[in-house]
Amino acid sequence: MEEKKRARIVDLLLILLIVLPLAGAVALKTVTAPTAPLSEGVQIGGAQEYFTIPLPLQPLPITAAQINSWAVMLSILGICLYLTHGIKVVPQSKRQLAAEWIVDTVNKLVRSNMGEKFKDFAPFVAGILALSALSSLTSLLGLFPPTSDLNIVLGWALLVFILITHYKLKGGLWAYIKGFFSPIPIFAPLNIIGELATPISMSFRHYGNVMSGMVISTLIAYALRSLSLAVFGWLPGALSQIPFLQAGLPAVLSLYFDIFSGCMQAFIFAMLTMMFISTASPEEA
Amino acid sequence: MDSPIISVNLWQTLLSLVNLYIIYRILRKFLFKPVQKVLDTRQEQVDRIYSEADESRTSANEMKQEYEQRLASARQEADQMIRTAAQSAQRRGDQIVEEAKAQATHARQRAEMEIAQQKQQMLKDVQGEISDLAVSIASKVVEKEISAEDYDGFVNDFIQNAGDRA
Repeated sequence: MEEKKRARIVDLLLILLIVLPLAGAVALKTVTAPTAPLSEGVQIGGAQEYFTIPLPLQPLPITAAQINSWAVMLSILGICLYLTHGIKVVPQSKRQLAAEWIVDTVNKLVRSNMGEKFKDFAPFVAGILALSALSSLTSLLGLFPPTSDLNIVLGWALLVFILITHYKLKGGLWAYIKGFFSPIPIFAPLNIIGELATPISMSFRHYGNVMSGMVISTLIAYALRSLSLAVFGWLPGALSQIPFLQAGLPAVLSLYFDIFSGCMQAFIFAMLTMMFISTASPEEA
Repeated sequence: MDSPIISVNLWQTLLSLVNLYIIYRILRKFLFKPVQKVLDTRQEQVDRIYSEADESRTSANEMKQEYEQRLASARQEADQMIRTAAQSAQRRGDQIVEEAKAQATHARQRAEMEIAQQKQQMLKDVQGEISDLAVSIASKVVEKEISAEDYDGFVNDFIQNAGDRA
């Protein structure tokens, strides 16, 4: 009985660990959001900067993108702990089934795309999927999605690039260098550009999709507000200020840009990661 | 103050790279390892249960075969016993019947012999008596002496007739 009570309390704490970081990020945003006057036209900018840490080469601004990605990371940690809390050999809870389903699905995905040799990559792929999808989905909470900051996805793509190069170098340094001069030496510049293009294209694809979704959503919301004011401006008093037309269409667009596109980009990023790494391995060829 | 919509910051990029690595470690330690451990343990248990079931099925089959064999041999034995018993009973019965027949034949033969003897004896007795009677009657009826040959012929005729009539 006492044990059960303790397990309940731990569960509650873990749920708080999932929810609190995101709630904190929302609270921080609402507290620090600049109250821009509505009629000053549409403004689309990057993440809000809170403070800057002076570092060599370049200062490090701590923006909403950083804060939100940390919040997402804490939430993921909470989800992991919550799902595996009280895990038993004979499953007795739905969350254990969910945890097993996640592990099993990602394992299968990695195995079918990368082969048995790379099965240890499952947590990494799951990490990309979780971090990318949940980061994009924070926009549903009105937060700045970290994935619409280029630096965030560029960091991920660089890690993938490091892994690709690591596996290419496993075939030997000479083979790696020679690879750039194939099929004929004149292709070398193209090969080098192609190699460097991998992380850039991966990060820009992801960043561009989420960012453009945000831009389009903002533009359409602004356009609808203007239209609403023009159509219903004759209404008396405060009624004229209510943007009636903003109801409806932005929700549908959010369904596409925030949910579908966010999950899609996470999946694409994970698939490309698996593909590039598995083809980079010399034994695989 | 907002940062520009697109900018490249070395430290932010590095921070994000480390973030992904940390998430990888978190997922590996707190989700994949424990779940995989549980799945492996379960697989082990299931394998063990299956092998145990196989074993017990094999042994059950063996026992069944043994019992069937035993049952078949017992049945054969019983058949054999019944057959032997029937045969011996038959033999014994035949023997008894034979003996009985022999005895009966013997008894009948003896009886027949006795009857024949008695008949002979009786005939002899009767013959004597009749001859006495005939002699006395004849002596009474016929006053003359009868010669020996006549007597013998007479008596023999009489006996013949009496025997035929009897």
